[in-house]
Amino acid sequence: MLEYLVRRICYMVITLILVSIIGFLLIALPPGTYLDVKIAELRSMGTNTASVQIEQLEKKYHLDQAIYVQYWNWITGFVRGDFGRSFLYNRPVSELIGDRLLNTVLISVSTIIFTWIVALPIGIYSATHKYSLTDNIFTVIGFLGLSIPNFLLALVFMIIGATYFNQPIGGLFSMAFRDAPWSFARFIDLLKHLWIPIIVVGTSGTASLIRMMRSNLLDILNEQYVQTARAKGLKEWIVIYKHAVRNAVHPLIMTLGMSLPAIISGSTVVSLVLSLPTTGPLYFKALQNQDMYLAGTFLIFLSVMLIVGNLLADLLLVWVDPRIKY
Amino acid sequence: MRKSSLVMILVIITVIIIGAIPLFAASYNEAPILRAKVERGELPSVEERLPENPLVLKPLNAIGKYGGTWHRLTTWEKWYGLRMSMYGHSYVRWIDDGLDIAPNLLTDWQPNQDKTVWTLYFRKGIRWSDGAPFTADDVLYWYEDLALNEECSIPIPNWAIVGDKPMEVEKVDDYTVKFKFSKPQVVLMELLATWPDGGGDWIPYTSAPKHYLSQFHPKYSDKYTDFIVHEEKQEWWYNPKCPVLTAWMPVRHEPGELLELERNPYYYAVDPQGNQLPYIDRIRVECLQDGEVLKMKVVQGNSDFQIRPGFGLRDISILKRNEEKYGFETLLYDSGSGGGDCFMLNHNNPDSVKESLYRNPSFSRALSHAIDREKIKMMVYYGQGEATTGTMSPKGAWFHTEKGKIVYQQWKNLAVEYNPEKAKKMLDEIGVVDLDGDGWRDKPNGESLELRIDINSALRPGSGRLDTCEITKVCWENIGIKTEINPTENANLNNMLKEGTFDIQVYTVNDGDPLLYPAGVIPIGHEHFAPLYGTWNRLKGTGLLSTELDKKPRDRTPPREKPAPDSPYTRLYDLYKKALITADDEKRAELVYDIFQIHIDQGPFFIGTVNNTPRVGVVSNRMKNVPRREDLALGGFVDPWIMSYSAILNPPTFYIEE
Repeated sequence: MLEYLVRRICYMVITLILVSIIGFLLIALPPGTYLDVKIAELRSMGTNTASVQIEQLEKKYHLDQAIYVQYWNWITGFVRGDFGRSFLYNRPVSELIGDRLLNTVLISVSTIIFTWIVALPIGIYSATHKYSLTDNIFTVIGFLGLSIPNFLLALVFMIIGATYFNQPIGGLFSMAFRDAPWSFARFIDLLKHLWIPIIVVGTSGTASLIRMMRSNLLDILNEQYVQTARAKGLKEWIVIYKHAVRNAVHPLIMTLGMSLPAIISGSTVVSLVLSLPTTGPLYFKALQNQDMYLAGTFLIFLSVMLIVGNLLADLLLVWVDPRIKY
Repeated sequence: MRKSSLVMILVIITVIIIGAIPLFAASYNEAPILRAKVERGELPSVEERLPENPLVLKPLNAIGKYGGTWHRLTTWEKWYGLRMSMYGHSYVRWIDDGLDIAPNLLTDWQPNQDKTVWTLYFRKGIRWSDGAPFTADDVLYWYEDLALNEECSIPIPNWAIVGDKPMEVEKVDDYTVKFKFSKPQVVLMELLATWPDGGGDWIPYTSAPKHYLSQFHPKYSDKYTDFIVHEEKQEWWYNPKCPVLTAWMPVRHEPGELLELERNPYYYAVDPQGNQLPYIDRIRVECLQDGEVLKMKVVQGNSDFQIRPGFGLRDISILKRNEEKYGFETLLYDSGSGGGDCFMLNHNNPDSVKESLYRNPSFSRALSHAIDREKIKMMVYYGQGEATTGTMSPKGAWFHTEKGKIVYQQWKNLAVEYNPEKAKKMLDEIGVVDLDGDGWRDKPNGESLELRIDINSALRPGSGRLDTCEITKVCWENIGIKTEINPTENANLNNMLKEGTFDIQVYTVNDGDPLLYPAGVIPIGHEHFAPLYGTWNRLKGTGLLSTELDKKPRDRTPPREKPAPDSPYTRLYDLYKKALITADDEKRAELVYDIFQIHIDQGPFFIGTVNNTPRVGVVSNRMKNVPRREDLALGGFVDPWIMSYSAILNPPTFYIEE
């Protein structure tokens, strides 16, 4: 087990290095740099930057160096906890991302929990009550959930919430609680805001999990050992939950690791629409403005989350199914 | 002799007494939260905080009440909208929609005969928001230690460079400075009034808090060798510790999310009854990520006053529907736009045949005659505004004189008539006819002709600009010219402008005075109709111009080309440069009208559609003293960024009444 862990962690580091190189190159690839944006802005204000000043700016942002030097300076800073400076905000990147990463993890984890809590029972119910009216209803809802784009759902929720329920739009806290210290009332306020993003981000995941759970369980219920169990006279719920579901849940756990990036990218669009203080909007702005170091740092952190998520999913699988070799 | 000197003394004494009356009579009033602080001994009294002769701002309707929080929304993480609504650091301010200029930090200014030396008199006793006095040293610090310092990225503003030499600043006393130019600087005050507190990233600083910032300056501190920390600290909208002169001062900043401001206890303005401004205690600006969410939140009554970023005319119905429920009012202001979305043909087109076509006034006039402006007006602007060939803003002061009115009509009516037959005939005459029989007109040399409108791909479907392009495309295809709309990613589009490889770009001309903001009218910079010539003109006077002359124009960095001396590109630029140093008002006016005349004779250089369409604003019912269109000198003049629109409405005189 330990050897397996060490091996996995080595792979993770190598993956991260590759991701950081490719990511950094891609971010730096579009024509022009952040400096062009700044200079254009200055010029629109009727200020001609002298060429000396442009040189100063290039030096300040290290844009006069070759791309691999820029990369090396940036990535070696990581070891010291220095993620570079954001051009856009003229601040060290580390000052900008802390809270947002936390919020992203909060929304992602709550969404995963939500998806599983909703999807598993429904999936099991649908499988054991195949082609019943309720199963058909869940199937229709599931297909709807799969096919409606997240952002559209977010907009619809917002409009319904705003027009009929006086639900505050956007953000994770109301104005009154935003700066307040943690309290029960603040937690309730958070929940009031959190349900929209969770449902919006979780819908398509839930729908696909339901479909998966249903088909897996249907397959398994036809297996001979299930028949044997029934023949032995075991109670139906023991047959289903102890014997069938436990085997049907494998593929779901495998998708858990892969569902992390989907949730992160899904929540970017939703965060933009709902104005959530997650990494998404800042990441998006950084990419738009060629704010290289900020965007690159986000990329690294999101990759870390993805890789760690995958590892956890694999470990979980081992735990669920003792037959798995590693 | 003796008698007259006696009279003199009497006069002087009278002047002193009269001058002193306001001093004795003035008893100033202040906000309750400040009075409490004074009573606790945390602040000096209001008399000590205000300058000797405070700026008096007249509220629109009523003397206001102190208190309240002004809720604002934005999508700009650099808080442009907020910075545009304060005239804090400006020497002078625009009033009456830009028709006149009034004192702000200055009380008076005096040019010499030929306008090469300007003496500026500052209000005595102004203080920064931390209580430190504002003096001429803060001006010198900005100019000599920051702007002139090549290590520091704060640039020398363009208005300070006349005749290719930066001005000199001389301190006369603590409250008087002299700006000395090598050639006449004729529009100094107008230029100082533009961009109040910054429209862009580096505000055109005209002062900096020396007592605070010099601790980060390499010259004054041994701790620093570069300007990295200084440049972080000087951005007051990001750094609440940096003292300001604005009516409200930032107290908390969360990047990309929130900016909180509190009243500046040292703000130097009062209302006519001596109440220190601003009335409103706090401003809270929330940054949203998406314009549609912003609209939704405004519709729900979450913004007390909103012009930018904001609404299009298409949003009026949803606003109107919710006015009563959420307690706000929808306002309309004149935009002053010169032509709505204008089409700029690239006069430095990489395709040489196209280039000569685009430079031919008959071609661009034919395109202009082909556009059905009434349709655009009805479909995009809901019947508002006026069809135009595309001019500078009709609100501009140059168009308000006798001669100006005629010039404006000529320019506006140059090729405004919707007449496809005439357009076809004009194209026939210059040899743009269908040569290969495929139904589309071709270039005179037989190659097929296709116009390409390069626009930003981030435009939402349904945005006015996209609609204008679609309608225009159909119009141009109706006269047999194949047209394609090419949505391009923004960074890529900027690059196409810089390299001069775009075909037709869409641009708005909003400003009224070519001497203050020449964009679009004078070829300077690459953003306009002649990008390579524009870059050449822009670089005139710098060392860069004479380098790389052996390379082809497009291979130079930045790409640039010298325009022919008798071409409109050179003449426009020369007239502009000459007007900028012509001290005589009449002669300067001549030169400006000559600029317009070139546009009329050889243009249009930009093909406009509909001008002066309204801008939508929203004001909550609890917000008072906000001017409506009819309260404003010109009914509003929202579009020019240099005017910085909400500052002109005097936000410090707004107040909140629940």
